[in-house]
Order: sequence, then structure tokens, then C-alpha cells
Amino acid sequence: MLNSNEILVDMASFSFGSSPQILLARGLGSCVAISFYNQKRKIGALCHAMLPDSHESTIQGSPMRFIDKIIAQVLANFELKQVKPNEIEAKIIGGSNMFPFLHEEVKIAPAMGERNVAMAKALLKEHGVVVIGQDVGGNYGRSVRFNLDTGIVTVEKKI
Amino acid sequence: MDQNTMLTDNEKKVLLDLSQRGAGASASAISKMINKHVKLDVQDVSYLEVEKIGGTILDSETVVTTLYLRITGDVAGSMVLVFPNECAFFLVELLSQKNEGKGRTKFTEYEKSILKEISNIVSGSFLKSLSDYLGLSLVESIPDMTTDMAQAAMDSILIDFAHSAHKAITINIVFISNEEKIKGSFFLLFDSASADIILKSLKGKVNNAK
Repeated sequence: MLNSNEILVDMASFSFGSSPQILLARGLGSCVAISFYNQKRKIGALCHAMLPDSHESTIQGSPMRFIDKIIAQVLANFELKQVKPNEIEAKIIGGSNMFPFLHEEVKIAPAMGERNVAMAKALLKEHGVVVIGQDVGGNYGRSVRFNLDTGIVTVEKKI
Repeated sequence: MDQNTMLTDNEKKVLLDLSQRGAGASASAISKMINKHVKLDVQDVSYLEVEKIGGTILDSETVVTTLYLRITGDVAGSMVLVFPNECAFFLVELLSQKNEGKGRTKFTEYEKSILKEISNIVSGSFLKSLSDYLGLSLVESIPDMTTDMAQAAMDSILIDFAHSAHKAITINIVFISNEEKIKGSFFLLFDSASADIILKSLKGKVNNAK
């Protein structure tokens, strides 16, 4: 159950909000969540992306699956509020590898977690958004709680 | 199958029937293995955008044991076995005849190999039944497993689909037993192109039988 000020950010989507809202992303595996925060105005966004690069994909799925598209969309939302990229602080969470045996040894599909994190960092830098924190990698899941009043991001692990 | 279409009632019905055939084979294999009566019941077949699948099937933050393997050959798909931890521990203790202590959250290497063997038995018998019936080559990878939040495991499984498929077919099967502790879910995922191949070969079957 969610409290009235809590918003759940599903896979392949993002949510933009302001204090006193709390943005949540649950059960991140290789997915990556990025929190974006403007301290002065107490506004921010949390995105929940699945794959690094829309240019690599041949299918027409939701563009919000991809880190490049989702970051561009979030920054466009900040721009509408007259917030520039250099006034935003970001944190990166997730990008683990839940099935290292299948992905690294059997190579049944590429392990996306690490690539997701690398792409998020590279694109944020390119856009001029400073990354002030991260909790990434490993072989376990994470849940994220982003408080738009304080800018604090809490990461919960179950294992 | 067109990416934007839904499954027709008839397609859904043939996929349900086909799954029930596979589930029957799996149930008899696992019942034999653990020497208890287990039924596998096909609950539903759905056709959804990949990112929507996770939300529909599991309580996202519950810690469960997930076994995952890929299907290759004539089709591309995945098989996923999800056991509540209580059930996973019950199964390994039943098969190893050893109790490594209550309240633990981690499996020993030996216990992991038991769970992977259960996964092999369930998925192998299911796929053999499918491949015999459809005349398709279905090759399974060895399984990998994790014990963590259900959504975190599913998230990584869905990502393997997300770069190549807009939507995927999900076949949702549950374990039922008189033995209360035996509970679990079994999912099969196929991308749109693979679902097409399966449905075409089913159509061929039905026409030949006429």
C-alpha cells in the first residue's frame, strides 16, 4: 500500500514531482533508477529504465525503456520549470546482475546492468548533470525511496 | 503475429491447451522425483508489453527463489520457476533428507544443485512434450538461480526480452499439492515472433488432424 504522498515509478517510466512527495522504485535488478533533484526548488524526478541505448534496438517499444530517451525526457521536464542541467544533482541506483552464471559464463544474453550504469554516467556528464551518489552493481536487488523534501535517497536490500 | 494485435480467443485456447499438455508432463515428472502428488495448473495466457509483465505476476518485494533458463532452437523464450522460500527449503530438505537449520535465507551449494535439478526436471519434461507435439526443436540452457526480491529477478529476465521484443506471451502456471508447503509459479515467456511460429505449427497440426 502507498501513502497519499508516495508515487510508484514502474519499469520503463519516470515520475516528476515536488516536496512533500516521495518517489519509489521497487525491486530493481539490472534496471537502473536515476534520481534528479533541484535542492532550491525541492523538485525532482525518478526514472526507471531497462536498457542503455535506443539506437541499438530494432523494435518499436516504449521509448522510456531506454536510458538515453528517458534522461532527455526528464531534462525537458526540468527545462519547462526553468531548471538548467547544472542546477540538478543526480544519483544512480541499480544495474546489478541477478543471473551472473547465465549472463557471464553461458552468455545466453548480454548482461545489461553494468552497461546501463555506464550509459547513465556518460549521458549525465554529457548533459552537464553532476552525479553526487551511486549504489550500483553486485548480484542483488534494490528498492529506492526518494524524498523530494530532503533530496535523500534511501536504498533497501532484502538479502 | 502483429505486434499491436491481441491474442484471439482461439489462439489463447490452443496455447492454454498446449500448455496444459506440457504442465501435465512436468507434474508427473516432479511428482515422481519428490514422491508426492503435485499438479501444475495453467492459470492464464497473456500477451503484454514486456515492461508490463512484472507487475502482473508477482508481489514485487517478497523474497523468493527464482530459477531461470533460456529456450533456443526454433523459438526464443524463457522459463522461470518461482518458489516461495519456505517451499524451496522444504523441497531441498525433502530431497536431501537433511535439515540445515531453520530461519536461514541462503542455500548451500548442494541445495542449489538440487533446486536446479528440480528446474531441469520441470522444464525438460515440459519442453519435450511441446517439442514432440509441435515438431519444433526447443533447446534449454542450464538454469541459473537467485534468492531475492521477486521483482528484481523478473526485472533482469524481462530485460533479456526488452531489446528484441515489444510484447511477449506469458503462460502462467501454478503448483498445487495436498502438501501445503508445496507452492510455486512457473512462467513461460515467448517473444512475438516465437509465438507466431508456435501458433503456425499448431495450426498445421489441427489441419492435418481433420
